[in-house]
Amino acid sequence: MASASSGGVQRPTFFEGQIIAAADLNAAVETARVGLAQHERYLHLPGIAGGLELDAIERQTLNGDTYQDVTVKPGLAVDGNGRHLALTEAERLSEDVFDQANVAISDPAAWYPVFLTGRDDTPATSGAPQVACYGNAPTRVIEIVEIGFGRVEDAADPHNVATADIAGGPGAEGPPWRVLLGFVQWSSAIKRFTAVAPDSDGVRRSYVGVRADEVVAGGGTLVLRSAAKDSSGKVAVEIDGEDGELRFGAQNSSGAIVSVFTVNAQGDLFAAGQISGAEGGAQYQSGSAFDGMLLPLPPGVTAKQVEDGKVTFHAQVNPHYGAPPLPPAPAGHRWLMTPLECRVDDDRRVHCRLCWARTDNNAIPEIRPGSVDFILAAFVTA
Amino acid sequence: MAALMDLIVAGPENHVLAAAVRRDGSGAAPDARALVGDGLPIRNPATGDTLVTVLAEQLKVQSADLRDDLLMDARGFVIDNGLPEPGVAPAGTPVQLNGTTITVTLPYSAPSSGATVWVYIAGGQQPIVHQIQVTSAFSASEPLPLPPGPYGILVLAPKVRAAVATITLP
Repeated sequence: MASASSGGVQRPTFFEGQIIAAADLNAAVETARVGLAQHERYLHLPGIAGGLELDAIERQTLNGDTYQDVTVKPGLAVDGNGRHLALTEAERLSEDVFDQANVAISDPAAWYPVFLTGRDDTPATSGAPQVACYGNAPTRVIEIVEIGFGRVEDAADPHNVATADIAGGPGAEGPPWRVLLGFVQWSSAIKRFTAVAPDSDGVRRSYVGVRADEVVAGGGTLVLRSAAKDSSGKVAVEIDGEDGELRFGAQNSSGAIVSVFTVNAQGDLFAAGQISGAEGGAQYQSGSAFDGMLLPLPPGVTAKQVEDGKVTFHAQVNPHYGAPPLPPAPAGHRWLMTPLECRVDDDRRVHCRLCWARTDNNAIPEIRPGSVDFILAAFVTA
Repeated sequence: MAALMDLIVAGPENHVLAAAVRRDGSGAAPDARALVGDGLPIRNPATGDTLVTVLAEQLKVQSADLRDDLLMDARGFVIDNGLPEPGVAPAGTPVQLNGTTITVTLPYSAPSSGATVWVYIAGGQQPIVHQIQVTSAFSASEPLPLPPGPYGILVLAPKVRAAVATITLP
């Protein structure tokens, strides 16, 4: 048996001949506004939806000091309460606002976060003349977006708290939600911005996301792109339900994925590159090494793993044959190379000594260190 | 095919002591310890015995274009202006020890500014790295008391290929 609850939510409904009150119209608007905020708040992650980049132009003061004239480009963000923050025109960062924010520290290399916030502003009156029994109450609510600045440490933790009110609209009470747009540096001496960056110390502009435990493709293929479809060279992942394949690769100019890694429904794995670093597998290195050196480890195998006894090696070495490092032999004769020693010890160290003898027998054979050509297989245990 | 090689380089004159080619060059570039362990043994070619071990801390790794002559005769090269160049042959007896004095000899007359020769000596109680300044002519001597016994020596002189020697002090 199910229990019924209104959930505290009501929406307006109308009947023929009803006298519509202002409250009824406001309720219609508010219902849609709350519904959209709920959708944004619970089905998406807050951040920048598009635009809002920090754009800087280098300028000089009258004293010749260089500074950056910073502008925020138009764009749209969504905050954690579901409020849309629309900046319809480019807006210049105000040095006065920064100075008054009192966030600057003595370090000229410090990066200060630039935030976008939103709030509603309701004028006291509509501005229309008051006539008879009609009031001049406001007829518009202005949705204001503000560009502000935080302390250095606010970038990593801007103290954003989403409303706990399920039925709440985007205009939650409490401090406004701050969407990070980027970073600026500040000169206290000239009271100007001196640099601009999209990220600092691992903290980046945050973009909108999606909350979902399950995503279903409508057309049979699901694609996850790191950039827009027309961004050639950016990587993407594709689940192709028709071919039964998971593919990873870079996008070409038409947005198609040039796969370098594919797994099919049978579990067959195709990799265009190398597979490294996997425990329990075999890693390989090959090349050449001079007497006394250690055979270089395969990529992904660490000295720590070797020290911990987690790696078993199999090495194959041969003398490296090449031009003799000796004066040319007389015409009709040549230097012959005979390996005296060509091995690798338990430490992977190369032992290679070569004896060079001339076919005319008129020179004393020379013994010199040499190089080996090697193949090293490393089997890493978990 | 790898187009680069790793050179193991020692001393202020950047003598090449060994070389390696890694066909898979992905990942971080190896340091000297990764390529030689605690040290690079310089061996007597005739016997295979280790004469001197140059510690990893005294070595560095330099990348160079792949050259087969470097692989065949790595110890015959010196880095000059960032590029490996064949060193000149050492003097007939590049170093002499008599228990009280060390003498180094260059195959050329030292410039007026002098030439610093590095000598790695092993066989005593602990390895010695000795510098001698040759300021004029072909050779220079300095006091260096050493007890009797066999010594393995590596000589690194400017623009001269690395030379090894064994000396037994009576």
